Amino acid sequence: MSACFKRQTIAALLATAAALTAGPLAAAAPAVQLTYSLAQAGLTVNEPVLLKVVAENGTADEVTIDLGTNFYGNFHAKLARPDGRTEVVPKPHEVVFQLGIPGKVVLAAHGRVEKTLLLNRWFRFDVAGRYFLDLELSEPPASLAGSAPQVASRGEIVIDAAVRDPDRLMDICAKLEKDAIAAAPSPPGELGSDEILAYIGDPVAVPYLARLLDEKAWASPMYAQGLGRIGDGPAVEALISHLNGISEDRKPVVRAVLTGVEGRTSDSQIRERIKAALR
Amino acid sequence: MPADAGGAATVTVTSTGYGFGFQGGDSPLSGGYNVDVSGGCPIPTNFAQKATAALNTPAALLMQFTYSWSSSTGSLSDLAACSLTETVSFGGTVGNPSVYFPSPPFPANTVVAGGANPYSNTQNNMSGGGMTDTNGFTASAGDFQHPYSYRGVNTSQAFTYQCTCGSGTPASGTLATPGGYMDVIQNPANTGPWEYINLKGNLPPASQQYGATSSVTLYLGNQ
Repeated sequence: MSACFKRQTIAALLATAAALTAGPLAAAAPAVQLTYSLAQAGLTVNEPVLLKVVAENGTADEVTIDLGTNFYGNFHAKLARPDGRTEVVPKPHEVVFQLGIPGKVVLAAHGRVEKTLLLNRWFRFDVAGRYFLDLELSEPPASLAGSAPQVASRGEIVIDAAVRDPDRLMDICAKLEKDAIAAAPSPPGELGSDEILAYIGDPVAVPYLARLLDEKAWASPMYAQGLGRIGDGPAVEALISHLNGISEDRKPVVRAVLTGVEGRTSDSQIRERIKAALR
Repeated sequence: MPADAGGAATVTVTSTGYGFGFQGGDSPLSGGYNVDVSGGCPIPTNFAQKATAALNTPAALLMQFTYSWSSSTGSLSDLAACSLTETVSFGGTVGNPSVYFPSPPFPANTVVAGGANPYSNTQNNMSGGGMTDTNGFTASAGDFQHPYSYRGVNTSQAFTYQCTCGSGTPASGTLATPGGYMDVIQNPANTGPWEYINLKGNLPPASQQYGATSSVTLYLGNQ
């Protein structure tokens, strides 16, 4: 061990000791408490999984917390899956480009706010069994660390998914499609049935997404991306068919989705089909 | 006008207040104009990019921009049936156009979201009149790998919209195409500390819309 490293280690230990003895700060009650619960019970594989997030302000002052872009961006989540794999969000070293609305939430004195998050935006629930979700908000940027309210955001949720039930999934898709057609666009940042449907990563959803892709122009990029996440043969055919029927200025998104499928798929036939379509 | 548009078209001419060769005064001729050919749908106009501070946290090196726009009808609520899509293309590493984020010096196992190039994401409902865009790495300065060397990735973005109105022909178009890059570079060249730089370019006109640079020092001194 070099002398330099020793000096750094000692300095770090002293800094840690100082932090541990900073009693009043360490013991202060958090201004805001986040709690989590599932919005529905009796889930099966590949169903939408909705998480209710409740933020409660324990102080007599108005407090603003930042949940990040679209109310998702500042969460760190870890999912232990029934197949033994662990996934995290955000993915380490992923390059992020995220469009959305600011996730600032204002809490009145002793007030509470509820938000519903779609967990399928982060994870696939594609195996039957028990999932353990661990999540918390990321630390604020250093420039805001002094002024940001203390938030107790760590939470754990258990999610049980029963075996895949195609009939049940079809019922869910049909209801979401009906709602998506009937409903006006959700207010910016609010979860709508179109978004929920676009995140059902099951082949059952393909015909529903394909119909909406053609019918609802304003939401068609979202449906194209939903088909891309499924990425099987019928989903790719629906995307190619749509690509051939739209104007040049609407093609880049569909092309980007197909390129993504081409890069991810292990199916050589799908890869060749996309290559030929994009030529 | 979209190639698949049919029937009558609405042409909206809006004074934007900045010149294309005309000087001064309040005459309509003193300003530039957005000409929107929408096939009858209300569409977004006056798209503007505004830079905000870097959002560098212990776990991520990010920049966030806000965007604003108006409606061709004057009423933002008419844009509820419009979506905004960002499509990002990665130009490849300097000297190797097929490798986007080589490690070293970039963090190991860096991937573009979703594995797509170009990559796209969409936000529905443009009636709010503005949105944010978060760009960057889900990595800390300590995740960058030695030995450092100059590597950069060019990015180009396109912001496009789609709008629908009743049973009319959907309208679509491009709002802006800012460029940028994400580099590991030594500043000043060959003498200063190594930095990760995320730059997003200007959108014309510079008087209203501007880019920004976020930089993080990776290593103090020469490597």
